[in-house]
Amino acid sequence: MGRRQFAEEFQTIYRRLYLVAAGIVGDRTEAEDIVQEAAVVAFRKLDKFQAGSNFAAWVTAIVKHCAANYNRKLGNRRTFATDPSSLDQGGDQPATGRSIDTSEGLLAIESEFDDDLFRVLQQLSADARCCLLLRTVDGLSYAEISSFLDIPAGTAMSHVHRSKQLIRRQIDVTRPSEKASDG
Amino acid sequence: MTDHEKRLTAEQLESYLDNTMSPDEKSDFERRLAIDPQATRQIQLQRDVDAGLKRIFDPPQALADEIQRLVEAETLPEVRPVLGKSQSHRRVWLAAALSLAAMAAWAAVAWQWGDQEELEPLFQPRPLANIYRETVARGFRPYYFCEDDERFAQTFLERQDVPLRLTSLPHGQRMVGLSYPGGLSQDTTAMLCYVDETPVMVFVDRSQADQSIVTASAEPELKVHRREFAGLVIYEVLPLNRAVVMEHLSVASSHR
Repeated sequence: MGRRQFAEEFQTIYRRLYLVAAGIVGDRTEAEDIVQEAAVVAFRKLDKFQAGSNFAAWVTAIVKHCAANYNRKLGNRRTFATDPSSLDQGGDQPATGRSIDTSEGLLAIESEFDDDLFRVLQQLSADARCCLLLRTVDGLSYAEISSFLDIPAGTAMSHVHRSKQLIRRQIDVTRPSEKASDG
Repeated sequence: MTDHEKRLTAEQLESYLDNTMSPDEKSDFERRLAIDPQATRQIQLQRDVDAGLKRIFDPPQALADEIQRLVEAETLPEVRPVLGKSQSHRRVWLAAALSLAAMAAWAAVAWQWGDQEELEPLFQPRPLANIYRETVARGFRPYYFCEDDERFAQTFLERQDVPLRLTSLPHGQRMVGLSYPGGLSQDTTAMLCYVDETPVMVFVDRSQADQSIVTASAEPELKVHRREFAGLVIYEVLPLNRAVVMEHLSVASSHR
């Protein structure tokens, strides 16, 4: 497999690879770095890839390894989408970044909702996050998730359903005013 | 039919959201949904959650472009072991690995990864000009918008062991926020600024993390300026022949 074919193959699955990385590390920006890292590692080791075997599975294994490596190496030195020093001051405090959007109406509501959602996501296991993101963001079927992550389709479905229920429960708690207005 | 039987179950809800119901089941579900405000609320909430996940985690096209560029480059970037503090910690750990427990842990890791044990660590130092270009291409948005001097100082104290402050910038200059894009080490902290609406990045790290590869630039119009103080090395990347922002950095007196 040459550079061009490698690049083409990688292009077709980069969205899924990104979502797997994001699922494992729980962060979108780090996921980008991990997929780039995996691309370099995979290309360097291309001679070890057996022609005709599953390229997506091979690269996914490298992404998983890079992401796990990242989690293991950085441990509690991970960075966050909001000011890391604010994490010590209570998660319910508005992040500095949120104030940027508050003058934008709907954008501000979305930003606050996304912040809550991001926090709840951190409560899920890496496997559950991977399944949820692949299903929701990229619209994969449970069979496709099963094939991509090498897990049973039923397990993928359980992860997605339980994750959705947990998220709804948690988000529901953070929206008391809406609940009250529902009557 | 009792109230309990009328209530839609979680399984039915998920099945509806997954669109795996038969037409009859779906029709029956929607009829019952119309008189079940709690279930209706859950459906709407899930749609909001799905939309939120797509907003947060939509894979960026810039990543695909970057991978294309990486693979088609004449020479791939070097992947090198993590430098600095982590490496010195590793040496200490290796010395202590004479103990049986450490040997066992190492053996477990080696077994787990089998023939992949030669995979390189994640971090690699990179030319700062490349990071600048990528950051601009992605919209020049920081990890977080920093408007608080105290948090600004605290962030540098935690990441570089030195609290920094940025004095008031002259008219036409502003600092947007901080990012952690790597560069010299995985701890590198970057300030995203504008000078007369031109994006400027200032990278800060410990002096011992400094290395020449970070100053490489394939684009002559993009300049990389360097400064050292208080045990830190600071690089400013911008399309100007002189640094503009980094001279306004100093050690925060309240943290000394």
